Amino acid sequence: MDPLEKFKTDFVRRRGEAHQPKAAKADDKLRPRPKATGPAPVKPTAAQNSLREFGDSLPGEDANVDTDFGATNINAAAGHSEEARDAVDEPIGDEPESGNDEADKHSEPNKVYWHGEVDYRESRPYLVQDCIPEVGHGLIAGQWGTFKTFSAFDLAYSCMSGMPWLGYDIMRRGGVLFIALEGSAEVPIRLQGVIEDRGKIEGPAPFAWIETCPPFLGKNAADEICKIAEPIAKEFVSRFGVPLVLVIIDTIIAAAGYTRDGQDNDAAAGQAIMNTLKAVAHRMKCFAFGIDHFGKTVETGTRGTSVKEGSADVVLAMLGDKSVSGEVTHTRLALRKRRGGANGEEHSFTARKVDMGPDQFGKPMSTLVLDWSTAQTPQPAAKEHWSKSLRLLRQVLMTILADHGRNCQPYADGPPVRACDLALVRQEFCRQYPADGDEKQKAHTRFQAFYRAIKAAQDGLIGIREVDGVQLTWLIKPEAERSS
Amino acid sequence: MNAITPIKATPACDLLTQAVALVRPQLERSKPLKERVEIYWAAIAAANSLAAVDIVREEFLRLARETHLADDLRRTADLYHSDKTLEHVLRWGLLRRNPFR
Repeated sequence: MDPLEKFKTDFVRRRGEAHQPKAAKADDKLRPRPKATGPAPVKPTAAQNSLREFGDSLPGEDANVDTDFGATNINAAAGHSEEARDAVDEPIGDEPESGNDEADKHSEPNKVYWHGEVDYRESRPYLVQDCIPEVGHGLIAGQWGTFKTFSAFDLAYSCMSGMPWLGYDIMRRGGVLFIALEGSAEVPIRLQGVIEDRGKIEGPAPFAWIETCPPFLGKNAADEICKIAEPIAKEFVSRFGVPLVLVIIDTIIAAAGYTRDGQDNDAAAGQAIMNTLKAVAHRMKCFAFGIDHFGKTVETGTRGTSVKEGSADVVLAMLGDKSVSGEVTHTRLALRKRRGGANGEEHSFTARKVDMGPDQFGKPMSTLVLDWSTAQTPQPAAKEHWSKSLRLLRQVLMTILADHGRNCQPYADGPPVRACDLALVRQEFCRQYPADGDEKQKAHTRFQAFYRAIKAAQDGLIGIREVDGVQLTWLIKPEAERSS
Repeated sequence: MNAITPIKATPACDLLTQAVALVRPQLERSKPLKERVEIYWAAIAAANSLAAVDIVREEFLRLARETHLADDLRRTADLYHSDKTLEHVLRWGLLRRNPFR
């Protein structure tokens, strides 16, 4: 075929795809259409109009006659198969009673695919490139206090704004539905915190939350949840012009509706919960994340049956070293399971307090946001390489970074880092370093100790660069650890 | 009358230029912006194989500027409709992915 002719045909087909996206899929749920009493003239589609503007006639149409658009021709021009149109025209009757595995109800079990028929580049659409598929279900799991919900808000923010998440591109921007069954009072402030801290989103965000949901183990749970989610998805489209892309359920254990002891260890119950999650995701054509707790032993993963993690497309593990007092250090997010890349990739983060202004009684309010400063580039887990003599410097540097650090890019072609003024680090280091003698001797000893430490740490642990007259310093731990 | 009519050489024109010329009238400002963006994306996706990606990108960026599509988008697109901004539509068009789903 002449390349230009091919262009025309392809253009018309694509035009149809762009203009009638919903009708392109045979498995979409459709509204019943009123039956026509006789044959009615069918309006030409946008695709057909495009073809006409090229001065061509439609397939099967006489160039001199500009009526009589057959349904088949419309479908062909719009890139839809006749089968798809049949599905469109089929009235929706009463749906059969369904249990928890509705996920496969809308699929075509007997459909056979042949090599070459499916373009592999289009066969794996992502919500977050290489991490989270467009449609699927997964878990965000961790012990209490490991910032599971905060990380869910972080992901939600990226999905709403299109900003990369953990350095991975957002491939489908859209709205988020949050089912807050635990700590629902925290939702507004946490959401506002992340939005104000990151910026970009102005005005209302495409985010909705509800505080109740039918039990996942109940009959027709997925149907009930979809009934709640569908109007919200429509509202996203009408109000913001975006689709629903992410549903987050906080938490799975609260949503499950267990009725007896030990049911969370029951493989069948676990599978039923995951099937509900899967069904919701497939019906709403989005990704559904359940937030879940780890058991007492972190190594064994999510609490209860292992079926849950087995069924999930993605498992994000929120890890950290917890002390008896409840303090959590060395916090990190691990891509514990994903289908499109290597598992086990860790991204460390710190939680930073952000001031949210006064409340209704004039009392100051605050919340936390996550800083992925040292982990924007994927990196494997690594060991500690700060020697004993450098521990004070590290401690001081991390404190100053937390209190006075700012995100910047010291090298134009380098990654963004969280950096602070070296002078502040020196002042605090000198205050904490023990020294004897008179004031002059003490100052000399401390300055020498500081520059010794800085020089040693510059060997792959910290970076220093003067930017706009300020000596900035930052942690470059990942590279240092990788090289060791 | 001169019996020999000089033959007018047809101007050299590559496929991409021809494709752009075909699409250009469809992007006129009298049409709704949404429709113009859809046409623009469909044309990019269809013209993908007519030249190297960077050339296609450059030509279609120029087309958007010349047909004032870029200006109109910038003027009317708020945050959430900025999904359909030029860069996004271009990128998705070159990837042959549908941004309107």
